[in-house]
Amino acid sequence: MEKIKNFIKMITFPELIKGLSVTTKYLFKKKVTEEYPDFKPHIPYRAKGKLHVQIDTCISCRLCEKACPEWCIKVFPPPKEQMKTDKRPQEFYINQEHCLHCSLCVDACPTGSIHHSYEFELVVTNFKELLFNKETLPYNQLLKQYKWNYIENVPVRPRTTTPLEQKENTK
Amino acid sequence: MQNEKPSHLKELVETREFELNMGPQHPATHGVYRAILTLDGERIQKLNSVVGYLHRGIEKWAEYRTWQQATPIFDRLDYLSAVINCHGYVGAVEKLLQVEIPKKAEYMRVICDELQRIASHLLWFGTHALDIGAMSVLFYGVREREAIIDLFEAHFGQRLLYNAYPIGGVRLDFPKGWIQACRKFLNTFNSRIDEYEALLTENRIWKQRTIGVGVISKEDAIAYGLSGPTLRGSGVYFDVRKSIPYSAYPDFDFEIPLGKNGDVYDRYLCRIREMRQSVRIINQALDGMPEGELKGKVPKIIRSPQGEVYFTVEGSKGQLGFYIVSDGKDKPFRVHIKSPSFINLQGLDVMSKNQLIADMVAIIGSIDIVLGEVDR
Amino acid sequence: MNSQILINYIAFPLIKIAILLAAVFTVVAYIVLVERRLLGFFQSRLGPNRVGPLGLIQPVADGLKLFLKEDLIPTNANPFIFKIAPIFSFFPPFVGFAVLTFALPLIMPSGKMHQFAVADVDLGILLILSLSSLGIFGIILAGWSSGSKYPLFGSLRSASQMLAYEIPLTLSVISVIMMAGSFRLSDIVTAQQTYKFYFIIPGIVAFFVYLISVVAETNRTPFDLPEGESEIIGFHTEYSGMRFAFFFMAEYANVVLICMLTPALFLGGYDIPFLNDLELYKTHPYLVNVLGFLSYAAKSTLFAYFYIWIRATFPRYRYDQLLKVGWSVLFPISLLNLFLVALIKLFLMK
Repeated sequence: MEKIKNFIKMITFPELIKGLSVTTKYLFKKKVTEEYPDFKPHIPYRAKGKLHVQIDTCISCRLCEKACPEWCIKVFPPPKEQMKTDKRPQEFYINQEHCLHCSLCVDACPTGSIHHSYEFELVVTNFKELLFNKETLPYNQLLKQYKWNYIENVPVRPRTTTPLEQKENTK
Repeated sequence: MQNEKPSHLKELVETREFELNMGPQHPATHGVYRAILTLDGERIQKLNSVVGYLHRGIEKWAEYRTWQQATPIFDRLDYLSAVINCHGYVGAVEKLLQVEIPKKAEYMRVICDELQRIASHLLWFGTHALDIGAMSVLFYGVREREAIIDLFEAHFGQRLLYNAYPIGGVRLDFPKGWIQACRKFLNTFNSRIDEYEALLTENRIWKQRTIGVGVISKEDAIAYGLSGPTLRGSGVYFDVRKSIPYSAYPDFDFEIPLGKNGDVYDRYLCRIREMRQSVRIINQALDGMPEGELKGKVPKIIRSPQGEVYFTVEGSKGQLGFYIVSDGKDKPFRVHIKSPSFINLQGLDVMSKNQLIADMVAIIGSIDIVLGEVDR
Repeated sequence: MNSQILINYIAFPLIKIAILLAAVFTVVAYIVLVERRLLGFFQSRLGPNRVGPLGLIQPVADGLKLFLKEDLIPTNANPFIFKIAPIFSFFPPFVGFAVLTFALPLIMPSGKMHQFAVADVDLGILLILSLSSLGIFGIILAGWSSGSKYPLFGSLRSASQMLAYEIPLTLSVISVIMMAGSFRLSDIVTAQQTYKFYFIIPGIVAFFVYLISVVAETNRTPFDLPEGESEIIGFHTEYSGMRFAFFFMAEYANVVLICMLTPALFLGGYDIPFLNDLELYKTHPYLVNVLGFLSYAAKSTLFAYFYIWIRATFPRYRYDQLLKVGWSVLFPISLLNLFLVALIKLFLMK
């Protein structure tokens, strides 16, 4: 009996037909491809993009510099006399090229001046474009800010792609 | 005895073995792994592994960083299961510092670890099938993995290398709605796995390609120090989660799937079943999630006591161990990594004896090596 | 008189050849695109859709890219054979199209009949079979002359695979020839029209054997061992640019040829299902021509879809298993089937 069953299985290809039906099922299903340059992907609230620094609130404590595993942050505090009144750093270097996006500096910062942004397109033609000093430090007042320290729970939105124009309108 | 030539042929024709270089730029060696094969026809007589093309000096790198600074680099060991690697290192440091970790943090770690295990196995599932020629499975697997990565992105903020845990606990609670999203994924996952198995598990071509190929016996597997699904495929009951319990694993009820023959097919089944068990663990952890603190008492600038410590976790490829020596400073004196892929690779010579080149590809796929971990 | 010969035997065939070649090249170029798109759909993704609307100019872009690539010849290679091998592979499938008949003969206003084929020779099916075995020379020469180990494996595998599957293929085709009583492709179709059933019904076993062996014959998944892109990369590892494009086009031309041959052998070719073609042909010849051509195209498309479908689903066989299947399963089955078909022919088909 078992042999007959096996023989019937051998000549009717049930498992191959099952496999073929799976691929056919997906032929008609909705596709999951995201057409990236045309449609911007949804970026969750906690996304860690390019580092942004708000130089006005920085108190030159150099905790981020010490926390960074790639040593890509350099902070030069102001002279001692000036430190009493104005704690803003004299010079602030970030080497974004070496950044691991590990958020250790964001964890360390007591004022939340350094934080990750939603800028994730970091491709440049010249790597020097990723070296920043105090003048060129990226900081966008208008962009929604995400400060790792201060955040309470935010809802997870389902992953959807929004058309580029729509995204720009809602900014 | 297929490789022995008839005696009359020996006199007539001069035959000799020849060497074939497989890799480091071969599509099926999963990275920059190089094997020098000594072949008789298409049968493999001897296999020499050449590793080190992706050596980055991670162990040395860690010696120049403080305890906390060193966490992100261990994500880059086995870049497909970054969370588990991070758990291994962080767990070792916590053992050294003797920190009490809150229950909630442990549960969250277990959830993320198991999700990462599923993600890693899914990618293995796809690439292994692609090596043997089944194309679509890769894309289906990657699609499911993408769902997990989206969950991780919502929680950790990144998609591949998360720098998941700080020393002492977890960084943040799950975001709002994350648990529901995770449950939604888990509910569909088992039926999806059934679907993918329909493409391979019973398929006669797949069975012919994998059953009886790359056999390694129980004794050999233990002698070569294999671990993970590669070991369990041979029927050895050893899983760090059960044998040397760590984190919150003793709280959960799950099984360790075992194989019988130690061939490619058994290893394949082991991993598939392991994914289902991981779903069970995550469901239990989500149900029994306690309330409480996220982080234990760890000073901001960590100075460890002198001493040495060994801590292992069950990585997605096998037993991942961290041996740390501390001389009482703020940096580790020595970090040694027992990486499962590197040690599993030792078994390749035994497994591939007298097999064809096509089998060699299947066997490499079944060990599931990640070269970032092999070369470190 | 001379001008008549010129028109009938030189000019007219040349025009036919030009039209056929243009059509075949287009189909070959676009079946690549269709395959990529369909594979994408099977795998829950979109496939190439960037170049032109729906990706329709993709074949042009691919061709241009291959054309502009550097033509590399390895130092270990035998340059002459290395250069000539792609041509061996490229020609046979394209010549094979010449004997295909696409519809019932066209009746000219003058009352003359014109075959819808370049050359409807009376040994057409034999010509295609022999040409398909000629194509293997290109693969063997390419693998051998590359001076590299992986292509050598590919060509060795290809040679033995070809030998193993040529025989069941020929035997299953012979059962069709027995039923039809002719080697001419148009006669085979006409026989199916007069018998009023397709040869797939008495020859169902032959059909399955044929289907499996043509997949092996054209080196497609699950029998794509000569390429085996994840194992030995393939016999054309060392080729680049246009020489590679020749192999690539040869493979797809083979697929198209087989897709067009199969309906003629087993599914009644240009016969329109559920219609009495031969009766209708007497009254409305042009309508039958057009409809017949369309039904032929539809049937061929079905097989092209089948090819892509199994490529999306199945894993690859191993070399020794493949030979085992060929010699110890398909060969005996096709021999047995030959007897069966002979009995059917003797007692049931009068």
